[in-house]
Amino acid sequence: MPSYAGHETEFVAIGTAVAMEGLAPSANPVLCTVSGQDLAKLLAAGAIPVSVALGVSVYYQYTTARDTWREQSWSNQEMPMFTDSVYQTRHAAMRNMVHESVQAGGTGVLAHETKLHVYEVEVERGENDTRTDHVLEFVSMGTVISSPRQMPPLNIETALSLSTNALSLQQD
Amino acid sequence: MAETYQDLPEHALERLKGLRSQGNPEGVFTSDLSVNEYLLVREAGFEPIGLVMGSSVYHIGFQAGRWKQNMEMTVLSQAMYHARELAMSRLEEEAQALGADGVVGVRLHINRHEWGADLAEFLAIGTAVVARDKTANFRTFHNKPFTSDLSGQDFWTLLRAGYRPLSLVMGSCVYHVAHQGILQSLGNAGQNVEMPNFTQALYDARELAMERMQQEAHEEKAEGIVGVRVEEGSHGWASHVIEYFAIGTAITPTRADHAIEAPKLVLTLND
Repeated sequence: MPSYAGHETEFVAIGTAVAMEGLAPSANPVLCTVSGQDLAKLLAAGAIPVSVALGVSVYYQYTTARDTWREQSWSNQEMPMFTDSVYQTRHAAMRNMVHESVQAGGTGVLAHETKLHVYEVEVERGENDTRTDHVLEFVSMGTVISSPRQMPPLNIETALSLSTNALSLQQD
Repeated sequence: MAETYQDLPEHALERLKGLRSQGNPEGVFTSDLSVNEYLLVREAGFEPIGLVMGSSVYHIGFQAGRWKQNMEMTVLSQAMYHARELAMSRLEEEAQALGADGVVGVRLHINRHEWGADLAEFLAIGTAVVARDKTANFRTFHNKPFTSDLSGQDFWTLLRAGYRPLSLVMGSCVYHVAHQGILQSLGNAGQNVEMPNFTQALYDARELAMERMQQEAHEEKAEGIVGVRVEEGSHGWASHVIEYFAIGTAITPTRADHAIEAPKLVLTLND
C-alpha cells in the first residue's frame, strides 16, 4: 500500500519534444502518450492527439458486520456493498478522465491503462471487533484525440509475412 | 417501451449519459483501444462510444473434495459461472444504456487483490461501438448488443470475411483431481508410467468446460466459435482443485461467400 502518511510523492514524466516542420512553435505544446508510429498512423487517419487525460479516484470502504458475516458464509454470494464501492471508484475516475478530455477539446480518449488496486486496512471497532476495511484506488490514463466525423479510407491490404519471425511480428 | 436498468448503480447511468450515445452525439467517447484497434474499428464501419464495464465482488462458497475421488466441485463451478455472468450482464446493460450495437475487445478478469481469502472481483471491460450504417443489424438474435473478445484486428478481419460476432460465450468447470493411494504410489516408484487417473480427470474437466461453452453458442444460434482459449487456473483453492475455463466469440455469417482477398506476400526487413 502506498504510504498515505508521508506527505511527499514524486511523479516523473519523460518524453521527446518534437517540432513540426514549417509550423511556428505552439504556446501549448501537445502532449501524447502514443509512440511515434502510432502518431503517424493517427495523423494519416486525420486524427490528432491533443492531450493526456488522467482519471484517478481513491475510495475508502467501510466493512459492516453484515459484510463480515457474508464473508464467513459457506455459500456462494455476491458482496453487494463491495461491488458498489468498485463501481463508485471506477466511475468517479472515469468521470474525471472524461472531464479532462472535454476540457482539452478532444472527441475521445484511448486509455492505455485502467487499473484497480485494493488495499486492506485493519481497524479496531471496540472490544473484540477487528475488521478489515479496504482502500480502493482506480487509475486510468490515456491519450485524448480529436478526430473528424468522417475518416479518410485507410486502404488496408492484408499481407503474409515470409520472415522467419513472422509470429513474433504479429503480436506487435 | 421504457427500458429499465435495475442492475446498474445510479452513478453508472449518470456517467453513461454523459458519454456519446445516439441521443447525445457531441459527447466524448472513452475506450481502451490501442491506436491500431481504434483505426481498424473505425475502418470496419464502427464508431467507439464508450468504455463499458461490469463488475461483481463475489464470495466463493466452500466445498470439500473427496480425497480419492475425481469429481466436479459444483459449488465452485457455479460460483465462477454466476459471478462472471453478473459481470457480463452488467457490461451488456451499460452498452444497452449507451445505445450501442455491440462491445469489442471484451476482457474478463478475476482480480483477487487484497479482498480477503474467498473474495474475488470479477470484471468485464470493453469498448462499446455503434455501426455507422444504420440499416445493418449487428445485434444478437435475442436483440442484445453483440459482445466479443476479439481484438480490433481480428474484428476487422472477421467482418471482412463475411461473418459478424454475436456473443462472448464461456464455459467453466472446477474439478477435484483425486489423490492416489499410497499402494499405488509405491507401485509406480522408479518407473515411467502414465497416471491414467490424472489424465482422465483433466480430460473430463476440459470436456465439461468446452461443452458448456458450446451450449451457450447453441443458444445464441451461432454457426461457430472463433478465438477460443482454454485456461487453467487455481483461484486460491487446495492443490488438487483446478478450474478449466473456455472462452470464445460465437459468430454468424453475414453473407454466403467467405472469400477473402489473397494476402500479399511480404518480407519484412525488421528483425
